[in-house]
Amino acid sequence: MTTPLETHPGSQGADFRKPLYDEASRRYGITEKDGRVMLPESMRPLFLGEESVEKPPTMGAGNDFFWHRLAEYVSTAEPMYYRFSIEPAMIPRELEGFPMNEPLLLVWMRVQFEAHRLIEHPLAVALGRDRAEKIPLSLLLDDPLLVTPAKIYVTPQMLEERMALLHSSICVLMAEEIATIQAAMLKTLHEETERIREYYSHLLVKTQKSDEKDRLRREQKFLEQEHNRRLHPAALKILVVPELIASLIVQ
Amino acid sequence: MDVTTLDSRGFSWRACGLCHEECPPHGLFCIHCGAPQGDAVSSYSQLLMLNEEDAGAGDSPSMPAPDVVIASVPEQVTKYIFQKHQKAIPAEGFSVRLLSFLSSIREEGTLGLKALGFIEVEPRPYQIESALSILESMGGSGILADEVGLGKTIEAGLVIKEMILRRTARKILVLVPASLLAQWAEELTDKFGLTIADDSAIESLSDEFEGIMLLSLHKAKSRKVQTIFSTLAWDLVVVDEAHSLKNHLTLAHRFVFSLRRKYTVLLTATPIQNDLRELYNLINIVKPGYFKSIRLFRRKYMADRFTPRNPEELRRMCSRVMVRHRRSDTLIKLPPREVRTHFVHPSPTELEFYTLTLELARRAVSLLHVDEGDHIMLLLSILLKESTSSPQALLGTLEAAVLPKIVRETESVLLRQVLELGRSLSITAKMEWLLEEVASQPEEPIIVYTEYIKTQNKLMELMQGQGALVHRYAGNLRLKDKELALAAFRREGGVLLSTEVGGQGLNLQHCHRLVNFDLPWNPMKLEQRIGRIHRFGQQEKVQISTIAGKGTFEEYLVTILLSKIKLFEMVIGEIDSILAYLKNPIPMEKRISRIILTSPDTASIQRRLDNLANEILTAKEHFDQDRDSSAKLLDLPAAPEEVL
Repeated sequence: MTTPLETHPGSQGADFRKPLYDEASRRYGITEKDGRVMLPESMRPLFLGEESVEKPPTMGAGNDFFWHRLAEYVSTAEPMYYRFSIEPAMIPRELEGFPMNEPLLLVWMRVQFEAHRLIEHPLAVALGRDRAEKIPLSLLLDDPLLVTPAKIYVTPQMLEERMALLHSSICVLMAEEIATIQAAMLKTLHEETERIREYYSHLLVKTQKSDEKDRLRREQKFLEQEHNRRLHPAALKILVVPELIASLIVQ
Repeated sequence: MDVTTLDSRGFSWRACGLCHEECPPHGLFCIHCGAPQGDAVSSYSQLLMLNEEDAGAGDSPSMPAPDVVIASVPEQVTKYIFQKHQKAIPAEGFSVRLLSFLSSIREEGTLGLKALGFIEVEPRPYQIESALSILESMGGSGILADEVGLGKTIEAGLVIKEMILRRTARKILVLVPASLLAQWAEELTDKFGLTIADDSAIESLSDEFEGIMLLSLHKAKSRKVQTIFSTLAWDLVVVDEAHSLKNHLTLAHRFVFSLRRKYTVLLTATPIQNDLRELYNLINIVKPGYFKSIRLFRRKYMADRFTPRNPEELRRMCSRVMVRHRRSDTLIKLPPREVRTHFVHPSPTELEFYTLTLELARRAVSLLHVDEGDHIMLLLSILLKESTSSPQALLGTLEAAVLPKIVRETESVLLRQVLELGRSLSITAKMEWLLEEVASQPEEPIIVYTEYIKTQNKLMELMQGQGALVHRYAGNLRLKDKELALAAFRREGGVLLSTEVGGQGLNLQHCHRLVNFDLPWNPMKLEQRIGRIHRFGQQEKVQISTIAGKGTFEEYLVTILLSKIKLFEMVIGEIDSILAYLKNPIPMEKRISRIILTSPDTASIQRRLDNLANEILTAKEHFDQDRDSSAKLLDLPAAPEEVL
C-alpha cells in the first residue's frame, strides 16, 4: 500500500508544514508583521513568552523548534479523538474490506524502534474486529467532505480489543522494517563484538600477570554482555505511541 | 526441511524453518516469527550460543521476537471515546491535528526531537543537529566536542530529555566536576524540566532506581560509591569535562570504563590534549575497541605522540563518534563587550560597617567547632556578601537572629555595633553611583543585578524616588508577574532590577547595558548574567559595569576577577572549562569564602586571592594549549567518505 510520503520519494513531513502553517494561522490567529510571525497570546507560553518569532524555514532538522512547539500547541488545542460517519459510496478503497456494521478504529501512530540506534516510523492503521491493515498516512486529509461528525459509542472493551489486535499485529504490519532493523542490529553486534575481541586479544598478549589477565577477561565478557543487552536482535524494543484516533461508521 | 514456492514475479519464497510460514526471498528474518533465515542463520547461531553461555546451560535459543509496547491512550481521551451522551466533536480540528502529525515526520526511519516540545530553552539549530547525531547516526553514544561556549550542556540535556521521553533511558548517571554540580542541576531542572535524584540516597541505590543521579566525578570514583555502582546497569552515562578521563591509567578513566552502561555521552571542548593516545582513550570509553588496539592506532594514525599520521582518515574516524562545531560554523557573531569597573569611595561609617562585619565573621570562624564547619562557613560568607551589597541585606539576616547562638552571645557587643552602624546607613556610595548612572541615560534600558531581595527593594525605592521606571524581577514573584515584568521592560524600557533568578534563561538582548551592583563569588554566575544580553540577536556593543567599594574585600575580588583573570574578556563558557582544569576540586565560591574568612588581615586576603588567580591562570594556560591541540587536528574538514 502506498502512502503520500512513499509516492513522492525524498519528500518529508516538510511537505505538510506549509498547509499546517496556513491552517494554524487561520484557526489560531497567527499573523505576520515585518517578516516576523506574531503569536496570539494563547501560544506565547509555549514559545517561552515571546510575542513574535522569526518566520520559520520549513526544511532542515535544525529548524525544528518552531514546528515542535506548534505541534505541541495543536495537541493541546485540538482533540486527539474524532468520530465520523461515512456514506457507503464514499468509503475509501483502502477500507473496503472491513465490515462496517460496527465502528472501525483508525489510528495514526509513531512506531519507535530501540535498536542499534533509535529509529522511528509513522504508521496509520485501520482496526476492525479481527483485522488490522495499514492505511495511507494522509487518509481523510485531502477530502474532508468525505466524512461528517457523528455520535459513536465505543465501549471500553471494544477499545481494549482493538488495542490488543494492534499489539499482536505490529510485527506483521512492520515486518519489513523489523527484518531490516534486526539484520542491522545483528551486523552491528557482530562488528562491535569482533572489535572488542580484537582489542582484548591485543591487551591479553601484552599482559603477563595472571590476575591482570583475569581482570581483562572479566572486563571483556562484561562488555560483550553489555553489547548483547543492547544490540542482540532479541533486544529490539518497539514502542507504539498513538497520536490520533478516529472511529468511523457507515451512515 | 526448506519448502520453496514461487511468487507472481517468479521469486522463490522460502518456508521458515521454525514456523513454516512463507517468507520473502531476501529477508534475513522470518516475517512471521522472527527466526533468522538464510545467511543470517550461521552468524546468528553463533550469537545465540554466546547468549546461551551468558544465560546458563540448558536454555533453548530464543527467537528474536521484539518486545512491543503500546503506549496507553491518555485518560482524557478515553473519557471521550467511552462517552455515552455525546456532543459532536467538530471535525475541523482533525485536519490540523493530522497535518501536525504528518509535518513532524522527517525522513522515514529518522527521528524528530520530541524534547523540543517540552523544554524551557530554544536550542540553536547546530545544538539540535548535535543531539540528533548522537541519537541517530552514533547509536546513542558519542562525544560532544563543540568549541567552548557553544552550549554542550544544552546538547547533552536534549539527549537526556529525548531518551527519557522515548523511554530508552530510565537510569541515568551524570558525572561532572564539583565546580559545575550546581550549574548542571539548575540547567537540567530549569531548562529541561528534569528532576534530579537526591544523592544522599546513593548508599541505598539499587537496580530498581529510576531517575537522574547527578554526582561529581570526584565523589563517584570513591571506593564506597564504586562498590555501589558495580552492581548497577545504567542506561545512559554522561560525563562533562571528559578530558579528565584522558589517561587510561587513572582511577577516573578506569571507573567510567567499568560502569555498566548502554549509552555513553562525553562532553569536552578539548578531546585532544598533549598526546594523541588521549584521544584514543576517550573514544575507547564511548566505543570500546573502536580503533581495535593502541598498537594499530599508533601504526595507522600516530607519526609520534603529538603528530597524526594520516590526519584526514583520523578525522573521518573521529567524526563517526564525535560531533564538533566551531564558533565560526554557528553564525554566532557577537558585538564586543565594554567592561568598566567603578571603585567608589565609601563614607567612613560605611567603611567601619564593612570592617566590623568582617571582624564579626572572622571571630565567628574562630569559635567554630570542627564538625559545624561547612554550614556555618556558608552562612558567614553570605553575611560578608550581604554587607557589600547593602546594609539592608545584612540587617535582614542579622535581625532574623540566624547567627549561631555562640556568636551572638560571645560577640554581642560587636554585633550590636554592626547593627547600629547598618541602621544609620540610609544610602551607600555604590547606591549613589547607581542613581547617577541610571539618571545619565534614562532613555536606554539597563539591567541591574543584585543577589539580595532586600538590596533590590532598597534600590527600587531609591530609583523610583528619583522618577525612574523600574521593573522588579525576582524569584519570589509569581510566574505571571515575572512575565509581566519582562514584557513591560521589553516594551517600555527603563530599569530591570533583577536578582540572580534573572541570570539564566532570559533573552534580554534588546538591552545592552548591565550593572553588577554586587558580585557573586561564583564566576560562572557572573557570566550567566552577562549571557542574558550578550547573546545571539544583540546588535549593540554591550556595556558591563561592576561597582565595588574601595578598601573593601570586594575591591580585591573585583580586581582579581576582572583585571587579573580578565573574566569578562573570556568567551562565554570558557571559565567553566578553565575551572574544571583546576587540581583543587573545591568550588570557587567556597575557596573565596575560606580565604576571606580565615585570613588574619587584608594583606593576607590580597595575597591568597592573588595565589588563587595564579592558579586559575595556570589552568587557563593548560586549557588554551589543549584547545589549540584539538583545533589543529579536528577543525579541518574531514575527507569525504568515498575518497577514503
